[in-house]
Amino acid sequence: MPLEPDRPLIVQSDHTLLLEADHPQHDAARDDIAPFAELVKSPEHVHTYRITPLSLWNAAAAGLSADAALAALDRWSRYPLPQSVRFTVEEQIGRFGRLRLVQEDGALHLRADDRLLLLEIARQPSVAVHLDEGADPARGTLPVRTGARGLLKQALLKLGHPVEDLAGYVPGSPLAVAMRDVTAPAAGDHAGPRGEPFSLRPYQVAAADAFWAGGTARGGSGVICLPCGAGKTLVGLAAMVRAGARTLILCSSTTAAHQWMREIVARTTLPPSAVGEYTGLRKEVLPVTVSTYQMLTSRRDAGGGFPHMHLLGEGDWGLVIYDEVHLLPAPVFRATADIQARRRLGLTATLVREDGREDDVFALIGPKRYDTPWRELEHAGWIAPAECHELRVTLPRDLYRAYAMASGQAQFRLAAENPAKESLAEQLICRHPDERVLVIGHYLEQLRRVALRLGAPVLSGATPQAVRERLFAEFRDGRRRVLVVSRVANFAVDLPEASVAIEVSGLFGSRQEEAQRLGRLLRPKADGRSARFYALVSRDTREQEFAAKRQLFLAEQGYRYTIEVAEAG
Amino acid sequence: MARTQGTGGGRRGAGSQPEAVAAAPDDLGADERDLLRIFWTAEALPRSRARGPMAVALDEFALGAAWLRLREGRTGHIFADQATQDRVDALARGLVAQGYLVGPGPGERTVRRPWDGPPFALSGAGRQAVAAAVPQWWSAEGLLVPAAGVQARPAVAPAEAVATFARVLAVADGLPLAGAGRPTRASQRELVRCLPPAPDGPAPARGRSGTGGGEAAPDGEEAAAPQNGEAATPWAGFEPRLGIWLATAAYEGLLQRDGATGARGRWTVPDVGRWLDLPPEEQWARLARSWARAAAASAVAVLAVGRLAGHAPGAAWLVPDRLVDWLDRHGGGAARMGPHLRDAVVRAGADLGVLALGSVDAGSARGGRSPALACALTQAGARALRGESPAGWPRAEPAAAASDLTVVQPLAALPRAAYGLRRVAELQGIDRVASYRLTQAAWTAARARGDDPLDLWDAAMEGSRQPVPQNVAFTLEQDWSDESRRATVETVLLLRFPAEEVAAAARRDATLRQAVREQLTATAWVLDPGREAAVRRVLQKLGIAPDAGGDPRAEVAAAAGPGRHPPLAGAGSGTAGFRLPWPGPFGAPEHGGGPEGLLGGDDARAVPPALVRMPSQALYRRLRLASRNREEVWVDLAEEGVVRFLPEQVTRASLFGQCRGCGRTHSVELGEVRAMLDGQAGER
Repeated sequence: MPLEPDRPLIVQSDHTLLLEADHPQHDAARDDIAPFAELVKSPEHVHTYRITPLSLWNAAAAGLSADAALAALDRWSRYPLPQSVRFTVEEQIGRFGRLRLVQEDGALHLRADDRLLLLEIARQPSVAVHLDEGADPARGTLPVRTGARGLLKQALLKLGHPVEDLAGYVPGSPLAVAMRDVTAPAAGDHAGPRGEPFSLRPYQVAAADAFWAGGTARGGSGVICLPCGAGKTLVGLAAMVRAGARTLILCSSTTAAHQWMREIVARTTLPPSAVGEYTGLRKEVLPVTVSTYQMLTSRRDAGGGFPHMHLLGEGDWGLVIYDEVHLLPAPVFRATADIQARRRLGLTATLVREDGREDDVFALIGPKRYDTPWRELEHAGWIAPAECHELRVTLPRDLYRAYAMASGQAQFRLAAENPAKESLAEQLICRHPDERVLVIGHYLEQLRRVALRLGAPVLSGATPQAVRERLFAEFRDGRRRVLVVSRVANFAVDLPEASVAIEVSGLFGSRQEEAQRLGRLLRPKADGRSARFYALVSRDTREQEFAAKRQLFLAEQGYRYTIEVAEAG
Repeated sequence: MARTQGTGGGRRGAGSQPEAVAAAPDDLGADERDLLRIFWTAEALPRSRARGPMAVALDEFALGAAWLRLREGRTGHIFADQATQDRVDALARGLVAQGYLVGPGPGERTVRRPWDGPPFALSGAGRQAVAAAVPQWWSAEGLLVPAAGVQARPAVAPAEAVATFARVLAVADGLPLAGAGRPTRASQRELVRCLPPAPDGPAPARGRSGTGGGEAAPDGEEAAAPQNGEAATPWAGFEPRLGIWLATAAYEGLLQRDGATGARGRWTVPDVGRWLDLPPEEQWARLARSWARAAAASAVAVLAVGRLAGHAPGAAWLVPDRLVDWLDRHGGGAARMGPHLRDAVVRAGADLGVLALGSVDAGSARGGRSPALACALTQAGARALRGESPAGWPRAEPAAAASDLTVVQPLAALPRAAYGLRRVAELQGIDRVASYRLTQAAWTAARARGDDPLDLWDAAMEGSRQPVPQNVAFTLEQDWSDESRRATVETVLLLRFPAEEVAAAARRDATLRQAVREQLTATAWVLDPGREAAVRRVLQKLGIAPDAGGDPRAEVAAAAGPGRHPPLAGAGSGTAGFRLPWPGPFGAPEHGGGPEGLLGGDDARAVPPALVRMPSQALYRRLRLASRNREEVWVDLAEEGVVRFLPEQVTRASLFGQCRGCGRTHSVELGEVRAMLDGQAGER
């Protein structure tokens, strides 16, 4: 294959793909490679994808063949494909489907056409322990112990053998539910969309359909990847409607749980009485139950059991939704291994986990069924474009001395609580007189000072839930233009009207949290204006170093930002 | 000794040196071969368990009692009777003349193996070799693909080689380098001029604009005379061996032709112009002869960007078997070497990022005759030797920088762009493209090497289709380059005694005396850097262990009570305040300031010896001036701890200290200090 310098894709022998973002054929190339290559990062100019066994297995699970994948690479690649890449694509895609989990005579069996393969894996101790006694690979099928479905898949995946799970699902207790055409008010004190026409966006429908796969055994388990602000909650609801069965939804926080509940009541035909909350506040188990990971993994002492984990296995769920599946705690993984007969949907903005357990997500939740990068959604107008700014403000002289004499965390805090930021925040708010602004910070004292200066309330972890909901409602309907929120109150809050965020202090949060924070602003605005994210950083301090790390993550996600030196008034 | 030239392409054996020696041309005598084997196989010799020099008896060396002492990895001596020494000396010179060893530089009496081996003193017990005057880049690893199974040392990038070379040149000539640190560019003349002349040979002809000189023609000139009967030039003996590198370096933009503008000092050298005037085919023929003489193997010279020799762009000689190995490793499939080696490389070139420059067929000896030499030069090679971009090479592609501080650079980048980026960024990987990450460490390292990172960055991004993202530009230009916001302070380690008699007693210790760099007063000594541990041991031995131990931070963190010096904040812990023991030498007069206030005084008698890190006297003097104005002075210590005070770089800094007398904090703005020093404040 000769050199084709005008093509947009560079395929490297380490299995990374570099796709020129500014190339006229970028979108077409991206559509071709996305099914089998993971998007690693998407800064300007060059987006990086990676072909991994997981990405290829995911593609194979979706029905992609090795020939199709290689044809896509050949079509767009600037250079001849490295032999190693060809080999990997053929080998790994070929692996998916060699091993299948099926139901036979009411029992679970591992089947393969290649008896030698069965023989090989049956001899692996990590696999043999999950097989029934008397398993004979020569027969082409291996009986699996009861309850070992998930563990077996995990073990085989670790050996490099993905399993196509065709064993089907328990349907769960039926539940009559449908999507509304017009939103209904949320229950209780929760403010929400009232009487607004609404419909799922095309990509949300596509995502739900990809998960459901027509109700066949080839679907019903897997992960949907959508950027923050793209409406993953609605995809979950759409999946629930397709399942038509009792559903358990696991969230990352109580606030997120309430948000789910609000959306369920607003956008589906379910009455509030059918939606239960299983959290620290209430212990309701209803046809649709929303709980939190913290609830499931809470226990009295470190060595004890998890008294609420039973929720996962009981309740005859037809569908379990794992919101923010990248945050799934290890104990929930283990429990999920026992409910492989239930349909499972993971929702996330990225499959990358801080603990590297992507394999377990694949094995126990399911393969990735759908994803789309934010840029496409932005181009389509489904999410707002965002401008990120880092404004550097000087530490006052007298404070700088104290800063320099301090050490470590104290230094950081002094820089983060730079009083010069307060007046700068005020200036920024005045710069956006017609927009709703979130002021986000970590240190409560600072937030209180800022709130006092701005005449705005502070929402923190100590704010009662009812007060939070009231203030959110006031913000949504315009009675309040500015909210000052701490990290706790900020997480997973749905405030689509917010178009400006001012971060007065951050901490050593995870990279995901940064994207989450920005994601609060990405609901498309009626007038198409961009969302603005301001990070206030004390100049020449340690805070600036952490800000640099934060910048890298945002830049990898494709957010452009500028750095300015601001002088507070 | 005849000051012969540097070596040829480097005789690198295919897997082990004895094999290479075995393959040496027949014109080496038995003794020469033996000595060569000893030199070349030094690393393979068994090492003694004891640390330090190892001694190996040269039983196989038929020179009687001579033995070679090899210091691990660095220097070696030949210990023998005078006659043996002379004999070894003569043999070594012969090996140098023929390119199997690298000759000594000016003023030196060492020879080296061509591939960066330890230098060996030719003779004289106890005479130690110094760092080789011959460029380090003249190592085989830098020019050859290492054979399979041989651990390759990192190749020296041509750019770094240039820097090394020019520095050596400067040292050898006693001429100061222009600018700080190593130059990153040098003229071809500078490089060629580095070659040591033969002490007994004729002086080389002056160049067209030569002013320097003094080098004599190399001793090996006759051996290297062109076979075509053309009159030998003064440089003919070694010039061809340099030529490929010079030409390649010129092509890569690392060299400036004479007359080119440049900020670096250069030396004029004779007659390099004559080499440059030769037709490419003749240049290539000389290079081929040099190669064949040194390696006695067929080869292909290729120009590669990033794929060969440790990812350093540059030309390389590839011998067939190694090329196969290399293609296997990198090309995803062996290109079997048939008779048309060059064609195979050309075919593989587009895929692998190599461009064949020319081939050398060393032939084989038949019927007792010398092997015939055949060589061929490709069009690309001709263009390369003329310094032009080779035809057929992919058009130069610019790099692209992204907001996440990553840069993707096509392999077909302009050489100077590739060079620039390599100097200021961390290479993440090279495959179809080169991927880099901009880091402050790499940026700072470039500056420390004497580079101008912003200049190199501009070169790296030359022709980029997209603008550099604003945050990247800001980070590079403001955060990483703007030194004006960082104040650095030169600090010293001060040993302070409680009383003169204690100091006098301690002064009797030789270790302590040697550790003293400057005696401020009878009881306050400035120590040499790095001597703290030794001084502590001495003080403990004397029974006057210093106050607080080990960690200067712990020491200085000890609370200062009335009459005692206030603590100094932790040096080396990132940006930290630096509270001076005030008033010190620059103290306010009303508080009895002065050196005694800091360094001695009545209350000091009750204080055991202390090791304290403090600003230098020079800074004290400046601060003394500033203190009179009572302006706030603040000093930010760089993360490394001890750095240099460069007031011209300071625009915002302050230094403060607590007065022992009144307990108040006084401070001086370093910007003010600079203004005062400049006379603007009218105070000196």
